[in-house]
Amino acid sequence: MATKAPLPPRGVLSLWTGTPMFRPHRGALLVTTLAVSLARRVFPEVEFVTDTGGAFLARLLGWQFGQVNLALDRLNDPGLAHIWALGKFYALLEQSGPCVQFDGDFLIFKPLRAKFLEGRLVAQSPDYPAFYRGPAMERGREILGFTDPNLPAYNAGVLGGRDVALVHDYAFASIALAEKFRDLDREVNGTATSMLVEQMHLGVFARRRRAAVRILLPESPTRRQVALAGISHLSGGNKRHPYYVERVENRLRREFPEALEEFESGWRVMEGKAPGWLFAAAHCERQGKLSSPPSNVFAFDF
Amino acid sequence: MSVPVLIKRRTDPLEIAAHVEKLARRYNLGTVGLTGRHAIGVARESDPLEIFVVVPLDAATMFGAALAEAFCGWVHVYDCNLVSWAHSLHLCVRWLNVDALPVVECPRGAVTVWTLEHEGGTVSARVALESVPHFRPVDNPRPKPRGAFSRGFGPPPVGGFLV
Repeated sequence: MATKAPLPPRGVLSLWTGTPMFRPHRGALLVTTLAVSLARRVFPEVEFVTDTGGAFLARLLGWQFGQVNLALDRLNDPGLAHIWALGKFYALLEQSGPCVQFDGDFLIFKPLRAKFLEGRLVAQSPDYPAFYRGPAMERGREILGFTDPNLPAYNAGVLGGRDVALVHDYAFASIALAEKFRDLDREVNGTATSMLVEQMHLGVFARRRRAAVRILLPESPTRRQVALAGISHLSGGNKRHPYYVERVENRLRREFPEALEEFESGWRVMEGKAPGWLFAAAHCERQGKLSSPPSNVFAFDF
Repeated sequence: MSVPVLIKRRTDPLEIAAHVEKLARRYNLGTVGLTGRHAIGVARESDPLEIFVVVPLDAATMFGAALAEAFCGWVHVYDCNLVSWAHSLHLCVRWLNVDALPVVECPRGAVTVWTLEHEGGTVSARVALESVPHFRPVDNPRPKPRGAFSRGFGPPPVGGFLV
């Protein structure tokens, strides 16, 4: 009896603009433009799970997706707003089939290995244990009960898997853990919290559920291994560093000139605007109060 | 598009110096100095690369990132004009792309004591700071301005070289 070929996974990008951790930086948005353009080449479909602000941003900057899902509009709890990884968990819960969620700074230059995509749970690589030390991390680990010094953590530049139920279980459990950090942003900052409930929790969850996490790369990959995997992860400040922004721009110019042109045209509208502009413009548009983006916003009422 | 070159022998001073020289020229930094453990060939694999520049640190941003990528590790770039004469980094510098050595004031008559390991034992040597090529002895060296005198680059992002 012929077996059916497994469904190729959907590519998923999430962006929660409602978290105070989101800042529209030109370099970071340019990297996401390249990430989206590349992902469309390797996934049969790419879904964008976001909020109203994110959907507006995508239209303005010319990001093209098979589907745009506004599930993150429901995230409006100020006590948890600092935990930016929440957007990723809710994006996973929106999936009803195998998926690979990639970060906006994760570039996929060639199709991901079939063996990797068969994983029930998948992630980029083991993460460096040193990243989970320091006062904020120790306090966060204490809150979660993750005090074993040998707990594994995974870099979630890509995150997802073939086992939808398992992926959902992980996402639900992560959301529950995030609750423990309600209103604790002064004690444990949003980035440390997000790394713990997403990346370290993935290691803890996989261990408890006795599920292997398929990885693309080892903890300290060689350049050859990285070249074979065909990915770049411009994590942290690298996506804003002029050295990498210039390279990303050159790559877009060579391979996706229309995408670069659309980005530049949209960025010219956004550049120099007040911090609340994106949020206000998106909501005005949604309420039908605008036919084109406003030049600026000085005051708004909701 | 130029592809960042990998420094294959990460503890070889000559190989490192060649790459530093090339990148410094590409980014118009003028004279630069390879210093620290890598300059004298006693670096371990995990040691960061330490470089003196004679331009403001902002002007060395692209250079620092490119070098961190070629070196596959941490690079510390120091503004030579802002590093105190008392810092040990001044003592062993391999100057590259030299059009003019930087000038750093040091106290007239100051000496430093070097402790060297030699054949299982230690040897001490007193070295006059005036013998350091880029030092100029003065009676009252001007204090350095307060503030950042160095910047770290790296480690390079996973797959940065593929972009």
